[in-house]
Amino acid sequence: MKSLMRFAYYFILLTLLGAQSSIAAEGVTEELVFIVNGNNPVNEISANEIRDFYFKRKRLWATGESVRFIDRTLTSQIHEMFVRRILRKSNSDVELFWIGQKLYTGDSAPLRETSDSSTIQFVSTFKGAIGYVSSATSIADQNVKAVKVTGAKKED
Amino acid sequence: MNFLISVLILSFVPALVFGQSAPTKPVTTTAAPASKAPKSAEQRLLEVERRLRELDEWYNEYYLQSKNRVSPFLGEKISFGGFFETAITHIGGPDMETQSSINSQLLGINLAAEFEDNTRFVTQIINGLSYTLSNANNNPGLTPAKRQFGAFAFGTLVAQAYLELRKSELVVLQMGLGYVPYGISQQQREPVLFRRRSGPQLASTSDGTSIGIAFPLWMGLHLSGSSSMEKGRTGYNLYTFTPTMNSKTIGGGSRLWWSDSQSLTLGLSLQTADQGTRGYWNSYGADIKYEAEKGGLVAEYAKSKSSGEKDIESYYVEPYWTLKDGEWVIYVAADYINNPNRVVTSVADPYEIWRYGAGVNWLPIPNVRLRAGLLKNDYLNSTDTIAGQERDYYAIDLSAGVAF
Repeated sequence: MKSLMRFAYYFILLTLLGAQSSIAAEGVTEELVFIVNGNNPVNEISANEIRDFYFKRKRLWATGESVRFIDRTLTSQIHEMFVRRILRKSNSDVELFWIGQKLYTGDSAPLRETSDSSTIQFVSTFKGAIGYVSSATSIADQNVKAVKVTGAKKED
Repeated sequence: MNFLISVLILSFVPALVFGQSAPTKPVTTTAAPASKAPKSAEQRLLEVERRLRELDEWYNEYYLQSKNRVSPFLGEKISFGGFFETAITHIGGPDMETQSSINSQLLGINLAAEFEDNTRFVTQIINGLSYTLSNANNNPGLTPAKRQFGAFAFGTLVAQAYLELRKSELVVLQMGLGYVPYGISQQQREPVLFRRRSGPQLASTSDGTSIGIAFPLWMGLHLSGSSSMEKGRTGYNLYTFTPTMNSKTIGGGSRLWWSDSQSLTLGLSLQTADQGTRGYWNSYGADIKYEAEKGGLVAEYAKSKSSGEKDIESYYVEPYWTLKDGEWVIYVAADYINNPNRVVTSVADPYEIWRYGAGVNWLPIPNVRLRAGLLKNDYLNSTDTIAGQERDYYAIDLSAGVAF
């Protein structure tokens, strides 16, 4: 009886595992534009690098400048798009990650700006800053530039 | 409409603020002089945001500080937080009394003082009041003769306190003490974050006695670093600690890990120390963590070998699924441990257990975790019964945790 129960347990466990799928299409993001300071020599960045910057696994640009990631408020649509397409996690998982980081490393989540214009303003001020804005927002005549993102998830 | 509201607020707020007590420094504006050409909505919005930012800056830097509100002492930035966890546990089995207890209240206080980008101090103090499980393995040779919740115990522990100097991505030096980077559960052992309360067997025990598979805190020095690779990221940890059985010597540990920077992390851990009468001791482990959008899996293996004792071995697998954008989490777990060396008050108390678990977490907000879990403890082989007394038992656990 014990062996039967153990078999049933593993069967359920493996069935549930098999049901888990997470195939993500590769491509370039739409409607989400990543911007860096106009003096930053970077023109292209991978989704992996953005994730490393966001989660503070990587804190310096190749130039040695400190990375300052500018996130957006949690309830905004653009943040949701960023979480889904670049981080490929749920909002809740990202929040839990930062709660954990705060508890066991003292690290805090990146600064959260409320709008495209305040993000542009921040990125234009700090040389190591990186943020994201909607593709509908003009970044002309500001000290920022758009960078090409590779390896992001396409729209669902 | 929102724009109109913002304009109205901005028309009245400065008048209200400056109409009362005069600030020590007047708010200045960096807005461009008004031009005769009509401004676009975007320009107006930028101006409004700039004014709000200036007001916020004035409020924080001049108003609050002049009122002697809380401000960092020496540190450029101080963050303050912590967690609280409370639990009710019901246990029952064939040769024991069925019982329930509100058995754990834990409060953790965290503080991080950031002096500059590369230098900071991090600390965590844990205070607890708990009714630990006495005779956790239902051994008739011990007192009490059967498993039961015992007298209350309380205490305070400095779980983390270290100064961190970050020289580069590859060289991060910490001095003090902190959670040991051994596997996953040992280094991320924040009670409030575990899906299964108190985590896997290799990171905890039901009666608070160390299982001796790995020393839980690094002490002294901890050097770590990471580097980007063509595919993913790899990193290392090197640290020292004081062996529990031989405080005259220094033990050492290391970890190597690789992550695809997306969903998969793999790690290898090692600890080594001279444990005095227990002989020379080595512990090694391997771990895997896979995180997807709607679930994931954590699995760890650890084994410790000592020249004077038998090997201790433990492993577990814990897949989980999330629903409603992480608001609900369902998990199952299969968790094995074999500890033939355990001795309690000079009485041998070896145990080999398969622990099966399943449960649900409800996170109404990410900071709050309410759990209901069921654990079935199945003792194996020669440890199944001792002197005719069965050791198997089940536990139902209800707990609530909050991080703040």
